[in-house]
Amino acid sequence: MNLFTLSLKNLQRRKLRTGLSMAGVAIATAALFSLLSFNTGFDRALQEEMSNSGIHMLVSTEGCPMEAASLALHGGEIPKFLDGRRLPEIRNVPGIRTATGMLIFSLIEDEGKAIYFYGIDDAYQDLKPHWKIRGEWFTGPNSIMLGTEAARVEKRNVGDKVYFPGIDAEFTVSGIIERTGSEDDGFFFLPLATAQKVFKKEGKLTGVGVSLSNVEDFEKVKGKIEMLPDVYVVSKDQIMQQIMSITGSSKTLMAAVLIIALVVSFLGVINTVLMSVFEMIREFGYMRCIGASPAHIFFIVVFETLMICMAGGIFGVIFGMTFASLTDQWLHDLLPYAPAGRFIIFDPLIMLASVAFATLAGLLAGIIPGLKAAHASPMEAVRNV
Amino acid sequence: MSSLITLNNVFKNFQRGREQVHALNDVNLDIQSGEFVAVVGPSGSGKSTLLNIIGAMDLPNKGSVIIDNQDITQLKEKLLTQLRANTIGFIFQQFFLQPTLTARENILLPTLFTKNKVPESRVDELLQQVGLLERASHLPGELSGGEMQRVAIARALINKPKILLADEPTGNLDSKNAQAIYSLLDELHKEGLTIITVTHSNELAARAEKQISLLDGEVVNNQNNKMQASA
Repeated sequence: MNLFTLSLKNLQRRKLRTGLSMAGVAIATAALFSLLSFNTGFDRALQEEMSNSGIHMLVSTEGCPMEAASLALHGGEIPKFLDGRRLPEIRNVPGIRTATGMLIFSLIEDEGKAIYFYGIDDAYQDLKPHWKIRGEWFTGPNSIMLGTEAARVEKRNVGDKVYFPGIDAEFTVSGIIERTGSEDDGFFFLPLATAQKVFKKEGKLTGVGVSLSNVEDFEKVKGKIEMLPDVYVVSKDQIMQQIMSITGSSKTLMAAVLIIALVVSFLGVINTVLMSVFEMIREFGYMRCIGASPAHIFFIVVFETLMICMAGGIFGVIFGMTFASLTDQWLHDLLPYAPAGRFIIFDPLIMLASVAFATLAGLLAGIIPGLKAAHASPMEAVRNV
Repeated sequence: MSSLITLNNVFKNFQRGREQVHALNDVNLDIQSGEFVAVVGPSGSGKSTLLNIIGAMDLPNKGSVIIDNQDITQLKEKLLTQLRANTIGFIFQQFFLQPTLTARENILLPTLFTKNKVPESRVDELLQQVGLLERASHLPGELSGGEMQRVAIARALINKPKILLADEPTGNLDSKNAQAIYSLLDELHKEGLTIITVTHSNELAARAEKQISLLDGEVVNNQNNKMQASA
């Protein structure tokens, strides 16, 4: 037996109280782990999604970059349209590898669910070299391609027909795009001309996605495109920055809530341990009688606190990982312009940092009760008998 | 026999609200090594205060207290702690056993705070002496009051102290268990241990070879039981 085992056995004396304190720390640590993971995972997912989009810049009609961000990531509908004549003009700008026109529309189904149609032309294939299509690319004006998720929800397979009462149009599924882990999985892709016709936007585009031959020519190309009338050019980085600044306030709010949770949990642990110290003050007095120094008593109390917080931290990380998919789903629903893919990632460094933070908090939380206990006089053993 | 404990002109005052309490008033004592002393007197007479001072748990306001050739009023906290750990064993009315430790672990508790290496055989020896060898792995909750006090006595002896201080050691026990403790204390006394006990029990006081009677913080009687009996 040593002081460590004595501390551990002391914890068993107040199982419920210890368990509740541990649960408080676990919840706070799970929140910390989720936030740290989210901060890393969100940026990574955004980066991946932007890379997968294959777009270096997006040309839309003059407007707000937030709309452009929405367009790039969500297929959000923009009520302003670019003149379709800009597309060949943009394609003629030197330094452009691919320029593809896009028309995006949403349709609200009876159940109130929005489905997104993405009108694309053949050049779009250059931006999505990683797409694996089960079936084939559009076979005619009435063909449609579905993202994996869209096909699953609509219960359609290659060769099936799909009818949309909202636009009174029927299409034949020519291909299903295998899971990409991006928003593409939920889209319905139509040939651009068909989409323009069905949505009565002939000659209009939501935007033009541009891929450059050489990224270093970005400013030069951008300058030339901006000379065209009624165009607004936004870069991939600007879109990312815009999204990050939009989500920044959400992150700040979450961080504020987290700090409150951590402080409450920290105070809870101090309170629990302090209560135990008050209850055990005569025992500590007796220990002082039998040779314990103030340092011994301080160690016993701090080690107990440390154990509560370290165990809480480990459980918190396990808890955070167990419910990562639920948290992911919640964050996707909560945040505007959330990229697809997982936010909560299993980064060992983040796991370690979360447990280390809980342990450090435990060390600090143990100081006040530890000092209180260490000051117990041997006289406490005989006081109030 | 040589003097193990000497108190010279010891005063101890407490402030209780506005009232100044004179717990000990010019107490002079000399306790020889190997003596069995009972401190008796009515409640509030200063018995426990005297025991606390002899146990280096508390210090007097005035006077000197020499324990094992060291004046505790001159010792720093660290040395007082060492004195309590190595020279004095304590038994209280409340047993102060750790409920999550077995009898054996409770007996070993004081060794956690000292550098003394105590072999397992020493614990077995003590368990044998207090008659609890078979109950070594039991938790305090599984022991009777008398058994718990016997574990507390074994614990007080683990570091081989020169002095055993007992504050009402049978105060929480029935007469049968109290008898077992009396016998144990007798046995320890015969082995040469210096025992000082505060008690309200006439039987325990009668077993001691010396009785110190206190009244209002003053020693009113300091007599040898055997001499008194023979007289």
